[in-house]
Amino acid sequence: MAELQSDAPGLLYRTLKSSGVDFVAGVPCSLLAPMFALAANDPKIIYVPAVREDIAVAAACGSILGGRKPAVFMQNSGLGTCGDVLLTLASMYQISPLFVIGWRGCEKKDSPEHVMFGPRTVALCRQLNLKPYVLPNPFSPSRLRTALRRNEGARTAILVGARILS
Amino acid sequence: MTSKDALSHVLQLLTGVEVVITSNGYISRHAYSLAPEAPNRFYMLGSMGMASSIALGLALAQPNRQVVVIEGDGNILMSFGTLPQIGHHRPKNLIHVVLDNARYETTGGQTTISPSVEIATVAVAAGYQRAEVLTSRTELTRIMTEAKREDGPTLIAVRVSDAGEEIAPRVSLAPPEIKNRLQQWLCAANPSQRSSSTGKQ
Repeated sequence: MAELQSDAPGLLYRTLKSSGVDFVAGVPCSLLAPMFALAANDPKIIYVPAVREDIAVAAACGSILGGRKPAVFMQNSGLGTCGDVLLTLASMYQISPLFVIGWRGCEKKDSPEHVMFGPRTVALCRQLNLKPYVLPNPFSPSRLRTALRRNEGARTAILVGARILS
Repeated sequence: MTSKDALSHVLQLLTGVEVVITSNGYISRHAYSLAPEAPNRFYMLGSMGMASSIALGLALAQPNRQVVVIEGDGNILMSFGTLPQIGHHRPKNLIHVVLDNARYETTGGQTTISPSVEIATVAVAAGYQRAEVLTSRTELTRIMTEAKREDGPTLIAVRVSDAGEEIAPRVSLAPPEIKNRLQQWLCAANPSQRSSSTGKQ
């Protein structure tokens, strides 16, 4: 079993911010719990604790129209809620928030609802015109930053599996 | 009033410095046909239910610019959770207009459940600064004028009746053009805005 990288959530959060992220909207996932705490307590960003993932995506898209650079934090199950807004808003208008997605069910053993979404997550991202980026453990902030820069405008979805951040 | 009357009246009461977001279906089509050249518009062509969430994100990103979202009862009911989301953030610069004809007009006039829902009461309970239900053009003029002056978020539910309305043609702009035109207009009006926001595919 891989060990937790020291302060992995802080590293990931600072990497997003150094890539320009100044707006976060999302619905919690336990795998991303420390990321939500960092966003909620960061006075330098706008944080939208969304009640549904599609609201988070639409608010993030609205913030891009207003000149912000948003990230959407959510669980992979939220992809099921977001089909329309990802295709007919983000993709259709070429509006590109960044996504950080907790990948429940990425291992064989998880609770039944996560086992439904886990194995479908990468394919689902591609179907919804997101570009999946599986976060390695440990990850290199500079490599992630380079990938984000290269994928600018591609709606990168950073997939965060178990025991990477928490 | 018909929804088209109410829509054109709301648009006439604006000065052109506001961002106007219209929901999918006939509302965007009518709004576009009234002023196809207006750059301060975002016509939402899909994503039913999401117009007010787009407006929320934009209002939070640009707190000094008034944002007006105009949608139908079908749209607001589809994502009713957006009301407490807006109520939580309380953007002062957001005016939320609902043209309530109690029908899904664009898909053939099927009835919605709006007659059994007190949308304005819910909006106030959800944290809106003010919410009004009205039926006449005079009231619409008065409340829109007050809403522009006062802190929001304000919800204005206009009860309209549509019968045999002539339908405007579809919005002929490609979706990325709609976005780029609005972003360029906002950038020109607010030069500090990042140019990197015009993301390419």
